[in-house]
Amino acid sequence: MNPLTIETTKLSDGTLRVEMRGKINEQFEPGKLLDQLRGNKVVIDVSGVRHVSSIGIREFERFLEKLSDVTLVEVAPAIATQIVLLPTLAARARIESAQLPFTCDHCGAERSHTVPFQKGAASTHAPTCTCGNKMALDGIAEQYLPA
Amino acid sequence: MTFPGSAAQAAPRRAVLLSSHLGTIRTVSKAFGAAGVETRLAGALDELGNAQSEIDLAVVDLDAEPKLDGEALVGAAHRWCPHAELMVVAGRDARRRLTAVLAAAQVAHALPKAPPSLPSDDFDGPDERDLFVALRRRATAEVPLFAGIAPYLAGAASVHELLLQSTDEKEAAVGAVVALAERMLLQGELLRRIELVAEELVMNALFDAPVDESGRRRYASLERSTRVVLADHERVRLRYGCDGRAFAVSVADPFGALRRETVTEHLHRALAPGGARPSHRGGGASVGLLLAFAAANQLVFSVEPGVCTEVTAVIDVAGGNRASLQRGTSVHFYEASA
Repeated sequence: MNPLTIETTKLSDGTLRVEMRGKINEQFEPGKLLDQLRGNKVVIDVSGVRHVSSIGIREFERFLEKLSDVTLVEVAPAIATQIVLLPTLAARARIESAQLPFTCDHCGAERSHTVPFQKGAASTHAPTCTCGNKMALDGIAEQYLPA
Repeated sequence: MTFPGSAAQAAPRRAVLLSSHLGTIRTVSKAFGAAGVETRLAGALDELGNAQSEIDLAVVDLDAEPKLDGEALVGAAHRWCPHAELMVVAGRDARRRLTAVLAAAQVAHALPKAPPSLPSDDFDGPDERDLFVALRRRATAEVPLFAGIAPYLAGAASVHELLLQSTDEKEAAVGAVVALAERMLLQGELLRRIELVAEELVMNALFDAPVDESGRRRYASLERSTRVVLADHERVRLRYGCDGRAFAVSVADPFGALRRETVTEHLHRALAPGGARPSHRGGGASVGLLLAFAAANQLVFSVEPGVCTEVTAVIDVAGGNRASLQRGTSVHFYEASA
């Protein structure tokens, strides 16, 4: 059932880049991953996380708390909505960007697009559709980005 | 195992609507008329006159008295019709204002008004279908207390049902809900919200609902990765379905331990400005409730203490995710008459 997959690669500057995909729920056990990451500069790409349960949030927060230098990038809607609702979730992490769903109100096209994780970014960084019109967030900005 | 289905509630016959908002008056009047409820309209508190003990249901528009905050307005309405259950509606900042007044014991329903299509327009009334179902459930004994998802879907929609006895069955059950949504070509955020409410309602029923004979929660302090197996008569009933406009998920447990105050306190605390957000350290129940509230368009709690708790979440899937989220979330409480 789309379990969580985790891939880690070392970048040229020594940063560990972690890519998470799937579901974060009560099965998330980051023990071995923590052993690998602890003490390093860590960047976590969570664009592929499509579902986070309330228990998953708890485990994910515990995981982040054990890292000293961590940045979340390409935060998927499943995590972005929960960070906004529960700001303590990523209190120890920098959140660089969010990958959010956009739609074109003119031609109906849909696409994911990365914006800075900051207030107003859904409109200031909205993508342009192939039809030439500006796309809009398929959601309410305050529920996906800081207000 | 028995899931009671026939407990009826007192049917309101006389109602009052306190609102001067045209969209609300139009929508509520239509729904009251269809439900056969005699309605009196007042534009403001001073038009209500002497207290009325025979009013069964009062719809209070929190925008009716701009100088009063929601709690004061609900208090005044309650003093005017002390035996009535209250339905509150609000436009601007509805999520915060409605969850703030839900803590008042008389408030059984809280519905956001429909947002304007253009920023310059006024709000419309609350969602007609949501309102009509609530009034029908209040006004007639036709809808059983533990009706599941049926009242929230068009009549011909299939209702799927699964019984769960252990946490081993959780993934497959949630997967079945997701599979139906995928067959209906739902994807992206709508699909994620459906999966989230299904998972949270099922986990809540398996871990937080079971109580022992003294009323103590049996599994609430367990790690959620712990395997839990319920007795045959304690199985949890999951019902789900979609009519193309609404996707509904309902989970019932045979414990009836959910307290209305628990729900309202969690929501109020979490959504008040600068309020204490639930911590993960408090366990999953409060966070799960908050996530279900944020994901659903309707959250319906039906409780017969000691007998059954049923929580139903409805997500509007007729349009895109933006339109669905803009509708906001209504909350409804139904309790068995003593």
